[in-house]
Amino acid sequence: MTKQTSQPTEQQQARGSGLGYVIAGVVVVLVLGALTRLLEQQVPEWAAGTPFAKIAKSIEFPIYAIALGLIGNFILSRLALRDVLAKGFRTEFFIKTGLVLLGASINLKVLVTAAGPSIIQALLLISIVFGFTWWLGGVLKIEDKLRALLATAVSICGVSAAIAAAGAVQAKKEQLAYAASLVIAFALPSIFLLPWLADLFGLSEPVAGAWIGGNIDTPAAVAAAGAIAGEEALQIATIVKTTQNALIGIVAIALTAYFALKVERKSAEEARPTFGQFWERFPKFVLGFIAASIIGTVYLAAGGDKAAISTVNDLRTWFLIFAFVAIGLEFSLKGLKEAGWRPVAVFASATVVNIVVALGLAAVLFSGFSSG
Amino acid sequence: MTSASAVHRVPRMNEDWLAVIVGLALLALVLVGAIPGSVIP
Repeated sequence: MTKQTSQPTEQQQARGSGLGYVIAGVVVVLVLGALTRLLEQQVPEWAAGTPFAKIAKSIEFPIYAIALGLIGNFILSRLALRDVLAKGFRTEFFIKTGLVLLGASINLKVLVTAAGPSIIQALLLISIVFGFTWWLGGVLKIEDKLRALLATAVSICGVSAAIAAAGAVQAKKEQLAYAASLVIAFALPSIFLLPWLADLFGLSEPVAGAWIGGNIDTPAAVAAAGAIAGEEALQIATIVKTTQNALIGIVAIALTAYFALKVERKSAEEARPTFGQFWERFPKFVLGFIAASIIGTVYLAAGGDKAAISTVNDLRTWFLIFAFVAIGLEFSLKGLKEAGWRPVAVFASATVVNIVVALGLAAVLFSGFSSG
Repeated sequence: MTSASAVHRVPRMNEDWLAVIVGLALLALVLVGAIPGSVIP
């Protein structure tokens, strides 16, 4: 990255080969993404009739994607190619595009009218869990930007929320990768643990769904856990998670304002950020997300085909697969070691608080709920 | 320094907007029927 000034011809050559590496990196992501899709579809068939059939059926695409990304990471590192190809591992682009597409499946009217309890739960849960994580991060002296990322990730919707927060507070890429690694490490066991606990506690499906949706960070993992818990649980879990998703933009704006006003204030003049500074930090994909939601809502209201929205959801899944593959490819133990035990302790504590508070809220808000 | 950070900033801005453009373009193509569901594996 530390290029010395050289002849224009050399610069052009470097740029040319740089572009080649970016394209090669993207190709690696696409190939591993296609392999993920293949495994997701074929492994249950291959495992049919064996003792692994049930497990194979329950494994969702994020697990394959991350595993393949990590394997690719290991192989490319051994071949000394990972760093040069890394510019093609566009995690942020893939997830942001996936989120814009996600917007199309979210009906604004459903969010506002039918998801009353979800909105109350989301607001209370985000406030409590974000507040706790921020406070504990402060007690353990975690750097403010990482603190914001961890608090947003654990309280809203994992990787995508961390990305929105990273854009808002201008966090380092390593911090985002670290927060994403933590989210994934905690989300994967939750897919199996929460439905099992919901069954153990004898929770009704709406309460179990609200608990899962309010608790597990990534939407894909929520869908996986909801499906294990039951059809009604899946529906409620999706509504709750969707509601939290919709609040990413608000939290990003609040974080932008907070960091501009409090954390990075260098002089009285800079205490009040200009609109330009605010705009610079605003995650633009949120606009695309809202626009897609409006387009999807208007399209269906005008008699559009629901199958088209399903197709958009399929495309969204592809972009999420690419994002998870890229996360695996970018994963670095170096960053984890540098970050130390404190962020892990904060994230684990916040997850426990999230589990307990979400269970209480779900039991209160959804105990008499009926989707029929 | 200024030019270096400016150079650094341009691709980041582009990537953010690129996600919006690609996402909305794909949405539009699906809704007008240019990308049918059968095309997506």
